[in-house]
Amino acid sequence: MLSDTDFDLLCKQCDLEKFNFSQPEEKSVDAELPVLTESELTSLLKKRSAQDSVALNFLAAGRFNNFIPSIIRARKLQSDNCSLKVYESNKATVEDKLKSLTKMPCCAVFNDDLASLLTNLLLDIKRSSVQAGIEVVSKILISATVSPSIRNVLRTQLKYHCIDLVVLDYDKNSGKLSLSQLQQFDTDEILAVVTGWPNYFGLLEDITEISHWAEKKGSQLIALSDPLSLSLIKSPFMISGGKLDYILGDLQAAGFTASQSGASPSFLASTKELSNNLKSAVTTQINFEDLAIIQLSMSVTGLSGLQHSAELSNSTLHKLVEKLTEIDGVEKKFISESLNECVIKIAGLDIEKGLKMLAGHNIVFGYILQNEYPGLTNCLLISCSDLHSNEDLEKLVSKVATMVKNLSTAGCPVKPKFNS
Amino acid sequence: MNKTGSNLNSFKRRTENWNISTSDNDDQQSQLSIAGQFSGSYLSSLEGFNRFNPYLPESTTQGLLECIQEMQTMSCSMSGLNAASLVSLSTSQAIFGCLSMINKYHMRKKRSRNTLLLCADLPQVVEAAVYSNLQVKKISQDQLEQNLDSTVAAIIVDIPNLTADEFVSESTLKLIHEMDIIIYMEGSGQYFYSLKSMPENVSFDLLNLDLGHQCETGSGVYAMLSNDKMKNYLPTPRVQLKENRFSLQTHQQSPFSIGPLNTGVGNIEKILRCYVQLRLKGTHGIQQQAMKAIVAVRYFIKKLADSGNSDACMTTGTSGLCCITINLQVSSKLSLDQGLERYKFQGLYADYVMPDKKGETQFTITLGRLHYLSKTQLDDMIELFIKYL
Repeated sequence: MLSDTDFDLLCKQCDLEKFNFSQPEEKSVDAELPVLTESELTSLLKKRSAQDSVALNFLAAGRFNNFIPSIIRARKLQSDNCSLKVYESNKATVEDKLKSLTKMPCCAVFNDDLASLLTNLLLDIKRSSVQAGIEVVSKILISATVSPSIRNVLRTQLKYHCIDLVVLDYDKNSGKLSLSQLQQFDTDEILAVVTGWPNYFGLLEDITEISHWAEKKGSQLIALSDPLSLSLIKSPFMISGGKLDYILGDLQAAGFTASQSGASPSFLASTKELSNNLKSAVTTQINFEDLAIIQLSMSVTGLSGLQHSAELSNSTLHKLVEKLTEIDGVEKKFISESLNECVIKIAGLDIEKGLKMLAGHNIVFGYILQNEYPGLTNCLLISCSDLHSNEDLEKLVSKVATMVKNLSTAGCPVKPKFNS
Repeated sequence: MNKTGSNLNSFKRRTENWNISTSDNDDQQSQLSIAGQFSGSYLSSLEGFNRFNPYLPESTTQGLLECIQEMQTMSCSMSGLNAASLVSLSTSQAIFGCLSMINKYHMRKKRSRNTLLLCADLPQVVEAAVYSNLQVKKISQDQLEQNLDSTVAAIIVDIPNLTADEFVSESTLKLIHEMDIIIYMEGSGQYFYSLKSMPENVSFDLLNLDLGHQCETGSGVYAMLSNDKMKNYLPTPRVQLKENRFSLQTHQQSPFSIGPLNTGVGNIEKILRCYVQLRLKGTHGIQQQAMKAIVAVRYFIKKLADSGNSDACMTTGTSGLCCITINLQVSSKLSLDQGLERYKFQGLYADYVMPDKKGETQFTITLGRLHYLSKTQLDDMIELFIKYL
């Protein structure tokens, strides 16, 4: 390290003698937040992390809590650089595996998070239409079943582009985007349609119908997905009969923790080569560290490992839902056969109060949907991962049963399912 | 107990008797920088943190929110500004966020202002401006006064000239304030440095501070900082402390905010790596390190220029990085690379940009963290480069 004496010497030689930092400035903030030694900081952060630990968590909302192999955790502790050749090779391996998952001919990975990549793609589609001399259409349809947090970021990022972001309502019975919502729009006025695969409620949209509609209207169809789901369910590109234009996905499931979701690298698969503009000017190249983690994760776990993890999560979820629905007042709202997230409804009680009661036992049961989806009163988005054991399920079910019993008998009786 | 204590005291060695050179302190600082990177990786992946989900009840995320709130406070302390919002994005996206704030500020005042006066060489600002419906006019700082008119939304500056006594003349600054033009300092990709070395009358409304670069984690974490005038426009969510509880201030609670730029609060692991560096070194330590980085680069460039290689090496502003263009055959390139290995072991950052076409031999090396080397090592490395240039 450059010593203070050497620093002064270098300053003199570079005519920068006014640099003088030997005395710290008086800053009250630094006084409040003293510099810590490594052991002090370790104690502090261990304490804070323990404070945030949740014994049982069934809330995901699109953020996966699945098992991460120890080799990937260990790799994150290293920060060594790699040669360009290794970088290119890792990138090609990852992109090949993603092509295999999406079944689409072109694929690229980016440093940008999913919401930013989607913004860039939409702007690129608009720019291409302008260049092609097509009359400028600036309406983008996005299903309400796409994660609200992604929609919020899109709203911020598209604000100054004269793009009209229209949120399409979902069908209250099926939890999916209904075709009637699309049909209210005239020909040629739609730039793109964005939907989830699976959607926010863990359901599969009627992608065949949507893609027919989009093709007829000349709009681009974009599906948001992820490697974990794609390892278990068919690619929307195949289901749409090759009519889907793009699949975008968050790569969190490929070696990143839930805390990195929404900010981890993402991928874009398409039917045609990506435009140069999208590849270079607007998006950011994936950095070698993140790429190495994705590559390692996809090699160590493999696509079959991803599939195993997704299957286990799915079967655990179904087991949980079966047990939960045996409790009076708990019913399935939206659930798919093949995914790890679903919506349940607990009728006849104050759901917020119920969740607080469970939080007292260090259990996070799920996410209340009512604030973002007013039609879904008393509904919870719940999820299971490959880390949940049978004991975890038993514990949750027992606590939920007690919670329902306590709250519903306190003035909000629920109709019993069985006469005993 | 007392007896044991006094016995221990008689054996205790006094630190002033160590009698070793002053470089012990420097060695310690050097190791601290590297140790910070290891502990950052370890501590940011603690179980309670890596399960974080912004949808979790706030009662179960108080520990993490406290860390983020402290980072906001420390960023304010480093910059002299008084409100911060942390984001983990690419540089262009972070700049886009700042430009959106500028747009929204003037739109709220019902003004039609779409000119950005750019007093720096920042191509990323030019790109982001296209996405914000703003027009960039590139000028030198001397031309500032003559370009001030009612269409100007903001003035964007890089880090000002270190040797200048003042940022702009008093009269120009007065005019800027009277016209309510925003002064935005773009610190992306650059080392920030002590306020002490800033020209006297500098006053910013908005700053995009590259914390990842600043904390040497290279993680794409930015602190978007503002003064009171702009703070309501900062992106959400921001961590706030109310009645001894930390909470995320959402878009609904801050109607003037430009809205969220990240889904959730960004990449927690990367944010925590910066936090670890900030707490281990303190804001003053970070500033010291930044100034050493700047001076080490300047010294390196000066020495190469003195040896007649002024065209080969350049740096922009006070970036703490320098680019060296070298013309070498592959075999010689390998031996240069081997020569650099021992400095890389000390923490030197070296990144190669190879020629686009086959047969070309000219390539570029970007060097950073030159301050991790002692002066002797730095001089040795300069000799190595002179040999190959």
